[in-house]
Amino acid sequence: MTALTRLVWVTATACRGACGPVIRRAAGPAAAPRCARSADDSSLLASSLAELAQAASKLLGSIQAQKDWSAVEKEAAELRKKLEDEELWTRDAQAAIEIQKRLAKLEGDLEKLKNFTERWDEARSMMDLAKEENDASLIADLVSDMEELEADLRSYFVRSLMTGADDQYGCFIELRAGAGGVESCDWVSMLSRMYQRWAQMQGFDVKVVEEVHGEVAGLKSATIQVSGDYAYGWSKTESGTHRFVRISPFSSVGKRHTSFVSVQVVSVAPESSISNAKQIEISPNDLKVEVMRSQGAGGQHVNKTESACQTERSQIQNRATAMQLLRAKLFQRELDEQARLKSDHYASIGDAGWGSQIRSYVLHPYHMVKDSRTGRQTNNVDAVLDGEIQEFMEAALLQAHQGGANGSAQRSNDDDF
Amino acid sequence: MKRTITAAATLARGRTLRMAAACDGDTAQAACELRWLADAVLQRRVGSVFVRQRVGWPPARASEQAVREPHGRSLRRLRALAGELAACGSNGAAVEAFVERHLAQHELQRLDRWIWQRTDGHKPLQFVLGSQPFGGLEIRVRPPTLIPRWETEEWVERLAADIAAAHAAHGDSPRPLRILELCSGSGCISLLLAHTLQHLAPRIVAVDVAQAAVLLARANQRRLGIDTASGLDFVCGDITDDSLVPRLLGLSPPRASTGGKVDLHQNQTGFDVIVANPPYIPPHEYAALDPSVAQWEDRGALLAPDSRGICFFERIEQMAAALLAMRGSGARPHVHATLGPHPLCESGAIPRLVFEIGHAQDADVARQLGVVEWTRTKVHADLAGRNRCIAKYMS
Repeated sequence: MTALTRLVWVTATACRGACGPVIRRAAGPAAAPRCARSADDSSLLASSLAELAQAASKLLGSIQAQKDWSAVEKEAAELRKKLEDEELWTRDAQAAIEIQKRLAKLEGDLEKLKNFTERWDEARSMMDLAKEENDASLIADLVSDMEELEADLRSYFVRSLMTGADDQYGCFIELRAGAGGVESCDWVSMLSRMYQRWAQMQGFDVKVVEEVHGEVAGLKSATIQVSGDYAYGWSKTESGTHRFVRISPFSSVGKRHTSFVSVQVVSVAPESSISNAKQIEISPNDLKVEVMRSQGAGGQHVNKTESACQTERSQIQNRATAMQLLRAKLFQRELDEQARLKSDHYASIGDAGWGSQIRSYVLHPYHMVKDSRTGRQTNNVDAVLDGEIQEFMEAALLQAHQGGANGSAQRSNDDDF
Repeated sequence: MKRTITAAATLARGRTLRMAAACDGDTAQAACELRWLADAVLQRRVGSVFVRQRVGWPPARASEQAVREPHGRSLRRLRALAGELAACGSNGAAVEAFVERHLAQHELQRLDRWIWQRTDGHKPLQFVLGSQPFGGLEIRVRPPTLIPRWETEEWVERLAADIAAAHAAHGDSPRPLRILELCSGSGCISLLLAHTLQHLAPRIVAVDVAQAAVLLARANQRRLGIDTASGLDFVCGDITDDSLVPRLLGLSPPRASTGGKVDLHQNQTGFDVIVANPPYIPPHEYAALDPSVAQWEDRGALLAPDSRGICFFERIEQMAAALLAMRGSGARPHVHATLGPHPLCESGAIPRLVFEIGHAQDADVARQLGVVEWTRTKVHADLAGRNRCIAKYMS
C-alpha cells in the first residue's frame, strides 16, 4: 500500500469516526421502539452491551500494549522536524522521500489509535449516561455502535498482526484428498466450495486453477487462487489437515466415516516485489512444459478446444496461471527451508493424517466444528461450510501471535471427539 | 457398488451430461464448455455492442467509471456473477446450479439452443461463441473460415520470438522486414505477428483465395486496432494462379477486382519471410474427419487433393523461388540488383520459409525440391509431440 492510499484510507475512517455516531443517533428514535419492547429485552441488551464493551476494551488494551505509542509519537515528531529542514531535500531527496513515507505510516497508525480511543471514550460516556437514565432506546442504539467498534477493533488488530513479508499478497489454496477414499474426495470438493464462498464474502477474486476429478465422485485435488489485499495473511493459518466425520452417502452400510484433506496455502509471490530479498527466477531452459493432449492427428484435422486439466480457453492464461503457481510453490519451499534452518519449529505440513490436524468437522453423531489449535468451536456446521470461517482464522491468527509454545501444547491433547 | 454409481450419475446429470455428447464423453471438458457458454450468455446482458466493447469482459472495475451509473450498478453485479461462474471451474454440478439459479428463462433457452447446436448440430464451440483466443488476441471466427488451432498459435509465437530475438541481437536495420503469408484464413498468423512485432514495424501482406476469409481477416484487423498504416494488408488472391507472383511483387498493377485499393507496399522487391498454413489433409483422411470439422469448416482450407496432401507445399515452394528477396540478380532479372534480402535473413538467424504441416508430412515437406537451395531445414514438434512446423533457412 502506498503512502497516498493509506492516507486516503485514514481520512475516510477519520470522517466516519467523526460523523458516524451523530448520524446514527439522529436515526435512533425511529428505530428504537422496534428494538426495545419489554424490560426483558432491555436487560438482555444491557448484558450484551456489557459483554461487547468488555471485548472492545480488551482489544483496545492489546492494541495499546502492542507498541510503545509514546515512542511512536516521539519518532513522528523527530521525523517531522527533520522534514522541515529544507536542506535535506536538496541534499538527499531519496532519503527525504523515505522519511516522508515512514512519517505517513506512523501518523496513520497514530490517527487510527486516536480515532479508536475517541470512539471508545464516547461510547463509554454514552453507556454511563444510558445506565443512569435507564434509557432502553439509547442502549439498543449503543449496542449496534459497540458492535461496530468491536468489529473494527478486531479486524484492525488482526490486520496489524500481519507484518510478514508476503501477508499482503494473494494466495493459492491447495487441497489434497488424504485417507478416506471417495469420502475424502467429496470432502475436497466441499472444502473447496467453503474457501470459495469465504473469499467471495471477503470481496476477494477467486479462480479455480486446477481440479483433478475423483474416480467415483468429488475431487482428488483442487487448487484455487484467491487474489486481493491480505488474502494470504488471512488464510495462511488454514494450512494443515482438516478432518471430516459423517455417515457416508457413498457407502451402503450407513457406517460413520472419517476422512482427511490436507490444505496448503502458499502466497502468490509477485514477480517484482521489493520485500523478497531473494527473487525467484525461472529460466525457460529449466522448464519442461508437458501438456496432456489427446491422441490423433491434431492440427487442421481437429477443432476441439483441448482443456484437459486447463480451465481457460486461452492458452496464455492457462500458462500464466501455471507459472504463478509454480513460482508460489518455489517461494514457499524456500520459506519452509528457512524456517527449518532457523529452528525446528513446525512450519510445513506433513501427510494428511493425525499429526498436523487443525480442525474437525463432525456431522455425526452431533454437529460440531472445532479448531484443535485454538479450541474455538461452533455447532453451526452448515454456516461454516458456507464459508463463515473468518472467526476461526482470527482466532488462529491471534493465538499464533500470542506464542507458539502453549499453542502446540494445547493442540496435542485436544482430539477427544 | 450400485449405489455409488447412481450417486456419481446424479452428480453429473442434466446439461453437463448432454454436453458431454459433444466432448467424447469427457464430463470435465463438458463442464468447462458449459461454463464458457453460460459466460457468453451473461455477456449478452451488457446492452449494446458498443458498451460491451468499452467495458470489456468481465466488466473491469476501472471502466465502470466510464459508464453511466445505471449501467455501472448492473456491471458491478455482472462482474460478481462472472466471477462466481468462473469459480465453478470444471465442476459440472456447480455450473448447472449456477445457471439454474442466475439465468432467466429466455437465457436458459438460449443456452439450451447452443448446447443443441454443439451436440446435434456438431457446431464447433468457437463458432457458437464467435471467437477464439490466439496468443493474447481474441480472433473473431465465422463459418466457414478455418478456426485458428492451438498448434498454430504455438509455432507462430515461437517464430515471433525468434524474429524479435534476432532483431535485438543485430540492432537497427536499414529497412523494415517484409513478411508474406499465404492461405491466411481468419488472418490470425499475420495479426499475431503484426501485434507481437509492433516495435519492428514489419510490412506484412496476407493472401487468401476466399473472399469471406479476407473480409473476416480485415474485420479482425480493424477490431484489434492493427491498422493498415502499420503495414498489414489482406489481399484476395489464388496461389494456383500464375499472375499472383508478379502481382505480389508489385510489378503489375492490382486487378480491378480488388478495387485497386491495395498498393502492396510500393517498391516491393521480394519478401524476407514467407509463412503459410496451407490445406494439407489428403482425401482419404478428409473423408474420416469429425463432422464438426467437415461440416462446418471450409473444405478449400483443409483439403489438399493429392494422395499425400503436399501439393500446396510444393506450389508455395515454387512460388518462393520468385517471391523471396535474394542476393544477386541472376535468379530474377526483373528485380533491381541492389535490393537484397534483409540483413537478419542473411545472417541466418531467421527462417525464410515456414510451413505448418500435418502429423506425418515432415519427411515429404523437408525434402529438397531443387527449386530453392535451402542451407538448413528445421522441424519443430508441437506440445503433443507431433511434428508440426517446418522452417527452411537460406544463408
